[in-house]
Amino acid sequence: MIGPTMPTLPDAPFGWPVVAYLCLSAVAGVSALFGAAMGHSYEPQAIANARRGLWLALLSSVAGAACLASDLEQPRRFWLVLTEANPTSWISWGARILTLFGLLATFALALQRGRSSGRPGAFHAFVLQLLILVSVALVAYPPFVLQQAQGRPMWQSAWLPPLLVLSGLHLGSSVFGMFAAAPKGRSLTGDPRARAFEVHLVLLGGAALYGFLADVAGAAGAREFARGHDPEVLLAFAVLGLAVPLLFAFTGGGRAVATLRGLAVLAGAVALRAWVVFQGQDTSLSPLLQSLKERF
Amino acid sequence: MTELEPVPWERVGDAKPPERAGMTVDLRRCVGCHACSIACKVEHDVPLGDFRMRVRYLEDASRGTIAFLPLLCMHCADAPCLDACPTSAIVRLDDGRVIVDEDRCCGNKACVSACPYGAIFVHPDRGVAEKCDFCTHRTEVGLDPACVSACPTDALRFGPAEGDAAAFREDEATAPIVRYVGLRPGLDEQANAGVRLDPRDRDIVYE
Repeated sequence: MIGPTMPTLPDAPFGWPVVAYLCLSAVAGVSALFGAAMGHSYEPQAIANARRGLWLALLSSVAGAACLASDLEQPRRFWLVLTEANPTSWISWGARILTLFGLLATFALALQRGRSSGRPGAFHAFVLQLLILVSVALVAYPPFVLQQAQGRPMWQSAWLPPLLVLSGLHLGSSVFGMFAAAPKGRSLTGDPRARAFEVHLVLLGGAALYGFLADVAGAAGAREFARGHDPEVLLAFAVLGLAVPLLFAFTGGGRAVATLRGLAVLAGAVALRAWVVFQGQDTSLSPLLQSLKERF
Repeated sequence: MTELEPVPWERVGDAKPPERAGMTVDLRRCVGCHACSIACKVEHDVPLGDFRMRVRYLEDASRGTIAFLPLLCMHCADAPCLDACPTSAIVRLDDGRVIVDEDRCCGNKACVSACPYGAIFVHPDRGVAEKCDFCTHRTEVGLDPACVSACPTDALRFGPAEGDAAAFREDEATAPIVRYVGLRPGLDEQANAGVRLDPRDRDIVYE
């Protein structure tokens, strides 16, 4: 028995602002990805969606930065992360990526302003391509921040980065799908508004394939690295990341249903991130506590 | 007339801090009195509920055994907190100790999550990370850290670790410079060999 009177570990440091940031960064990154990709098109419909995507990206990134700043308690400290950056810290790289993303999204939006048809100029296209690269980085880096926390064994799981990135793509594309104008033509599911959601289905298939292949391969190294928490990570992803969105995957067409599907993905992604953040900080999982029990 | 005891900084004389920092915790001597925790709290004004240094009790009521385990920042040679800090506010000094530069700390708590020993906390009022620094203000003038000075059984010794002392977690690759003597499986039976606490036993044995 471990003595009951004194705390073994400090309180969990990351709270809801971090959960909110993980969601908002995914929405911002994927919206910008869609917006920048559509910005290359000459079709008026795509150009309108590009503008919506860039707006969504900009607002989400600003809201995400506000969440991070609130977590630091003193907003000026965000500036400290930029000016005193430690190259070995993923958080410092994240702050730079987020700042660059905000600047590029603003710039791309300004260039997009007033444009209704025709292909973008060379400089405009260059900015959009740069934004695509930074968007990918924005979606991909947060899991590596979590993995740098060696005191949280669940976050060391090799599954976490690919699953969170896939979940981020689901989340971002579903939210973008809710804001995007209806594309012309029919989608595979018969719903003209469901094209964005079909991207989710492809990604869900990718996640299932990844899980299958990794399971077949044994993933011995990954399991050892995760110190026995892989099943929990996979179960949470299966329930929150896959099952909840899939509940609404084939429920017909119409704007209301498309919105409902988007909200289901949103709820699943938020719940997944909240679970990852809070369960990952459960002190009963602490390697220190495990060592104490082994010593006894 | 009784001669007054000189204050500590007068007693220092020509004493110099060791070139290499470190600490040896002798579990055979620790009696779990919490003097080290209290001295640390007083020295650094550590807020209620937080600890730079704490003593774990490992109890087994069924066997009537108890062991004590002082825990503090291990000042790892390969410190995860140092890599995780986004503002380089955690630095390693020449003598090996790892300290927090509060002026550069942005309070993002990455170090708290990165530390495998739970040795860092964020001050609730100032919002900056805090941890054991081996009492830099004392050791730089030749004094021992507050916990070492307060320990009534000399279970804590400041300075480079001794040869037979082991890391708390053998599987840990962070290379801590705080080392333990008497640390082995079955800690409650084998550590604290000098003290056996059994309320039914009239012969409390001291070595």
